[in-house]
Amino acid sequence: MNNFGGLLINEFIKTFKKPRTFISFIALTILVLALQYGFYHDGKEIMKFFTQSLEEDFSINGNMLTSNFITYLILQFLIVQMPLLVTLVSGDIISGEAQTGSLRYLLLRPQTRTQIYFAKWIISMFYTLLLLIWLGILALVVSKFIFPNGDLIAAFSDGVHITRAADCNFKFLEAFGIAFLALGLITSFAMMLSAFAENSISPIIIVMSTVIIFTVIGTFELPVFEFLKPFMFTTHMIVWRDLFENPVPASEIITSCMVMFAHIILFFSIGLFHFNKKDITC
Amino acid sequence: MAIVIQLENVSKVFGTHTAVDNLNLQVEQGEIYGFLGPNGSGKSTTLRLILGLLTPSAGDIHIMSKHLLSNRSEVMQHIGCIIEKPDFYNYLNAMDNLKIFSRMHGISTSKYDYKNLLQKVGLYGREKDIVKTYSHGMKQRLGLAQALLHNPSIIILDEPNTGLDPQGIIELRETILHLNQQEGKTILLSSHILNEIEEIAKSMILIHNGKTIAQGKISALLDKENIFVNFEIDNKENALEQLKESKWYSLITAIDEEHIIQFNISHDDVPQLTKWFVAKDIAIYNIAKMRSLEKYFLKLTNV
Repeated sequence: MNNFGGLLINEFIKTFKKPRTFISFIALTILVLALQYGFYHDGKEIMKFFTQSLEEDFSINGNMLTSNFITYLILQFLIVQMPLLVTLVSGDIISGEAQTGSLRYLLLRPQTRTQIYFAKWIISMFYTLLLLIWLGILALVVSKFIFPNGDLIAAFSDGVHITRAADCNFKFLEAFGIAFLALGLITSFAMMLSAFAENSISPIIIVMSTVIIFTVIGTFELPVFEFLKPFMFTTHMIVWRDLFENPVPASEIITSCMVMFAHIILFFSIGLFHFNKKDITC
Repeated sequence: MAIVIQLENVSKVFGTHTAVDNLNLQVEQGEIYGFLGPNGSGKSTTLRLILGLLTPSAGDIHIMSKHLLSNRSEVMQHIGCIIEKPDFYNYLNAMDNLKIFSRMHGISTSKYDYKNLLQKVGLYGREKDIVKTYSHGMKQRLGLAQALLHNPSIIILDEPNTGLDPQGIIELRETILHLNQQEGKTILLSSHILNEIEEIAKSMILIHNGKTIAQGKISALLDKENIFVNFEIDNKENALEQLKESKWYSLITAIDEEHIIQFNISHDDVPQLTKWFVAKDIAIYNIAKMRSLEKYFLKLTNV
């Protein structure tokens, strides 16, 4: 490839010297620390409210408010917010340059548009990975300092599942792997939209609207929308939760991962095709 | 002279609008070309087609005898340009911006090279400043620096004077002439400032409604045309009386309130008319040719 390494270095510098890039890290830190503080302060009251119905059938001994439980809750809460944070960079990576005009100068170089698109995608995925690692450090590591270690008790539609504390770390590692695939899908989707747009706001709005609409439709158990669920990528993005079921529905998880991977390839290909054909009029 | 840029029957259609219509043009190596046309004539679209930013709807573009679309990577190593306004990564400093473009060309630019380049464009000492703080003129200078960074043999400059102060315009003119005369670079210069083009360029391409309407050496194109010449003379009334009896009277196009009479005559007529005034003992204080390129431009574009 024609000096592809230089292209990657450039994209890295451009992304990580831009102040906007760090908004996501700051927002995520505030969000997670606020949740942890909230649960540290009022967690017992909240847990009492949630376990009222459980206590009618079960005798619960010990502390449910463990570091593993908090990590699980944080991951649940952030499923809608994380795509927004990811999109701040990937939705801007091409359209932002189109808006400022620097895309014009970028495309006057010997590199092919495919190389440029690929380099931008790699850096966007790298950013997504860093954001996820930061979430992991905040949610998993910091929680271990604040809350006691213990089993994870999680409620599912078919009942309550308990994951032993010793198994939690590995399951969270797997969960973060699946979350990376899910956010990689969002990254590729946002970047595809970024290739079409001439400003950075449109891709962010479209991604967020899609995630919200799909999530809302997926959340309500309405039979009329049931047939749509397998086709909405948000259905597959939350499959990491199934890792905490007993037994683990491995085939469903693998299918969802493959669907997400297929989405990544599809979004990447459409974005690349359009970027290669695009007339640069900015 | 070898042809370094060649457009053959190139068209570009946006929806129902034809921006460039079956355009043909040639740029010879080592020349400075003025690229002219009124607003909306298709100049910017043509430049973007030459630079591969737009894909032609029809026709072929060859740069240095290579087909642009199939050899784009190789061709772009030979072209440096400022297209429209210079836009950079505003949150980075000038040096970081130049390093980004240097990396993309796969060249290792030494500190000495950067210093030379920055001195050449008048930005030495300001290279660590964030580009966001630059004036438009400074951005133009940085634009020129990125265009020259990889030592291209073809330089395309789209309105490079925009935002420059008079000193900057003079320096840019000198830089362009130096690049052409000392380094042998081919320069395609688009500008609305016709006297600037007339001072720098030897050849020109004039386009209108997406078509080439004139192309060649400026002197050859203008010599075919009648020119407007202002004669500043003594005793205008007496001169007009005598002119009425001569063939020159019908060629008068304007008479001002002071001492100037304007004629629309051929280039060869200027010495004859001068001799006529001298023979009639009419003192001449000044002979000034009107901007001939300007007149030529207005005539061909019907503005």
